[in-house]
Amino acid sequence: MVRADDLAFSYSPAAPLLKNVSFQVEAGKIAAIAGRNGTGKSTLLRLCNALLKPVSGRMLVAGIDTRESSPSKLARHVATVFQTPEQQIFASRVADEISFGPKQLGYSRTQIQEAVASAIDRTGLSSLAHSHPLDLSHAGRRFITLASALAMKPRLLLLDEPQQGLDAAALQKLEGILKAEKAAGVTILFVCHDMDFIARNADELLVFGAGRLLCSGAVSDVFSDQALIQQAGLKLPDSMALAQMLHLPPALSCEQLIALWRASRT
Amino acid sequence: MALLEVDGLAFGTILDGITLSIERGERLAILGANGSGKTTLAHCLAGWLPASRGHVTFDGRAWKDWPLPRRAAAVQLVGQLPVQQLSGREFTVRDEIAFGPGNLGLPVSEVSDRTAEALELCGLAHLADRDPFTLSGGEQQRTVLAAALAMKPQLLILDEPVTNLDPSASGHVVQLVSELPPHITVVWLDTSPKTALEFAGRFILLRNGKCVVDGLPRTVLFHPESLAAIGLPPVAEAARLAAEAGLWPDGLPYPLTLQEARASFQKVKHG
Amino acid sequence: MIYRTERGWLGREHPLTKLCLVLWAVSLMIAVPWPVAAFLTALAAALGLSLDSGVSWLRRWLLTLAPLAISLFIIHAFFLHAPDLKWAGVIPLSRLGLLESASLIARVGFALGVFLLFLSTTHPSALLKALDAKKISPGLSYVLASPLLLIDLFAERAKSIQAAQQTRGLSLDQSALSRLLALPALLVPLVTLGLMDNQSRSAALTGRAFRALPFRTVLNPPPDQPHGPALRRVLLAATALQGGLALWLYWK
Repeated sequence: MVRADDLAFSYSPAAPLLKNVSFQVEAGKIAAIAGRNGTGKSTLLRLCNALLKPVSGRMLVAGIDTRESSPSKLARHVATVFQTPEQQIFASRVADEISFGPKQLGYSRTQIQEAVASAIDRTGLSSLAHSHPLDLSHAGRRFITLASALAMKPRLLLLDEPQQGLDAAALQKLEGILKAEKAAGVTILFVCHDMDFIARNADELLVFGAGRLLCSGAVSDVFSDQALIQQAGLKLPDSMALAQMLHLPPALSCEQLIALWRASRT
Repeated sequence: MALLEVDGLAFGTILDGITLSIERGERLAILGANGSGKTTLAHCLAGWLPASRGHVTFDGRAWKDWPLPRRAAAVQLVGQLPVQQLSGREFTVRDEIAFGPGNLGLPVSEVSDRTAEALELCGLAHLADRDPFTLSGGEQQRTVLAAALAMKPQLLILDEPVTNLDPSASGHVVQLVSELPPHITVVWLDTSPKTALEFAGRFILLRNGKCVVDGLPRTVLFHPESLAAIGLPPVAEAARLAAEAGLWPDGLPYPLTLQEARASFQKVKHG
Repeated sequence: MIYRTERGWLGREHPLTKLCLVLWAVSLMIAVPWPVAAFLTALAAALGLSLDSGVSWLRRWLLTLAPLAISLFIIHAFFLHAPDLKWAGVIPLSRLGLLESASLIARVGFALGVFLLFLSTTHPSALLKALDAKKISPGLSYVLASPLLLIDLFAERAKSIQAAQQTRGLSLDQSALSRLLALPALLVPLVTLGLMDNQSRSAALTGRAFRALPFRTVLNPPPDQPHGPALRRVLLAATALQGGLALWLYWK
């Protein structure tokens, strides 16, 4: 679904940001991008939706070379959820806001209505469909932008720090939505600095550092590589740290940790 | 007499009768879910918003009786988005920090000394001549914090100050706050207890516009209202699940931080 | 930002002196006959080109002046008066209109050029500090200089907004009508973010006692030359005289 071939990118010739980046994310998987601040995580996301074009190498999304496309053209397949909801919200009703994407993609009236209703339902915004988007709290606005993305029926969903600023209940809701999208066959790629969130939600992890892709693979494998985690300046998710302490196999959540512990005692 | 006395504070439909007192030198964390009224409460505690009902008195006097320059020298508030707290009229970090003391009409030498001190304290000396709007989020937040500290406040209120920062920037800010001199009273508001556990000795849970639990971190976090509103840190959750599975010895307290967890889980492992 | 580092005397002169020079020059422009105005405009252009960033100043001046100059020319030469000339032997226009537009363009061009000279050689922070040091109301200085700092912030935001809407399928290379319809999606978020910013920033400013006192202490104000205060007084007096003269001549 997403493939980078020896990609390189820099904002200015004097300061190369990404070099020799090659990876693949299979359709229907959830992949997380992690790394210290400034390693180009958000830049990578923008290379996936054609907002930025690689300086050399190529980025293929749904088989399309981003160099030969544009963000609005690629929007047919890719939807992005940015960190600041207010930078895109402009309608006076939640439902109208969510309908913007489908309208731009040229859906018919019935298709738009169906897409909006479905997105509202999946993000739990049904009771707020006629409210003014800016009357909602920050978490509510984030769900509006998520619904706006889902209404576009993307094959690839990109999210930039989706967990930020959400409390426990909102996080649970978000995680449920991501799982549901994955079950529906959507490929998900998100940038995140919360290792616990990555452990609970991602199948694969791409770790960046010093402008390169340091490692990519299954989340538990990547987190088990102590040297790599240290090199990248990351910390382990708490469940992994506890699993290591107890000499158990990698645990990506507290529930998994306890299950493994119980199994080891029998 | 307590430093800050809050009596029956109400604000619109957001805050519904808050009563609490904060002593000098306390390190208090107020936890609440999204939309629980934390920001409104922070603004009322700082005297930035007038209460609809009830009062907030600082050092024995209601905020409304404090002239602005005196209030600004007594309490400072640091919010979530550093960009929205920068003055918008200073072009270097040094000038941004000097902005507040400058507004108080202090002598040039005093302003200069306070600025240098705050730059040093917040590790910003190497960024002193940079434009604050070109800094990273973490550096901007440290600038805002330095600007607040340059006012030499008695009370520092921080409203979700690290929510929008990456872990390393967040760590810097938390370290700064935990190392503040004891005469500065700190109130930290957040949705998760993780950062506050590193320095706060008292927690309050804000739910439905009221302070429903108030006490030691352990007491507050394991209260049913907190479990419903904000949940437990992962290590505590793991211990709770372990107890449910019969793997956790009776009487052993659940850990709240990873450090505590290392010790507790080792104990459990080795019988 | 329009400001560029300038090593010449314009870069070193006190910001308030430069501001008084601008006021004096613009008031002079109102009072003099148009050939003199044209000559002074040429002088201003020469001064601008002598700057370190002269070429960039010239480019900005011409780009800003061009639309206004063209519309003034068209309105005066073709519409306001009856045509009595033929341009290139074909296009009818009015000689009076031509002269009028030349006079107006020269004056407006001069004022604009001089103002741009000021902006190009004065960093907004220098202006603000100069105003603070002379105990000018902090509120006034804020209104004057903050837009300049926030322009960059707004420009960044406008780019982010455009990017976000493009990823929602908004295409900006279609018909003019579709671009017009797309304006709310680009402008409303800019206004929203600006208003949110404004609310938070006002509260933060008040929290740090902004405008609590009618004056403020400033670190490192721009140095004032010995001739500065006297020169400013003379310039302001001359401005008042010239302005008064122009009004008197007009009423006569």
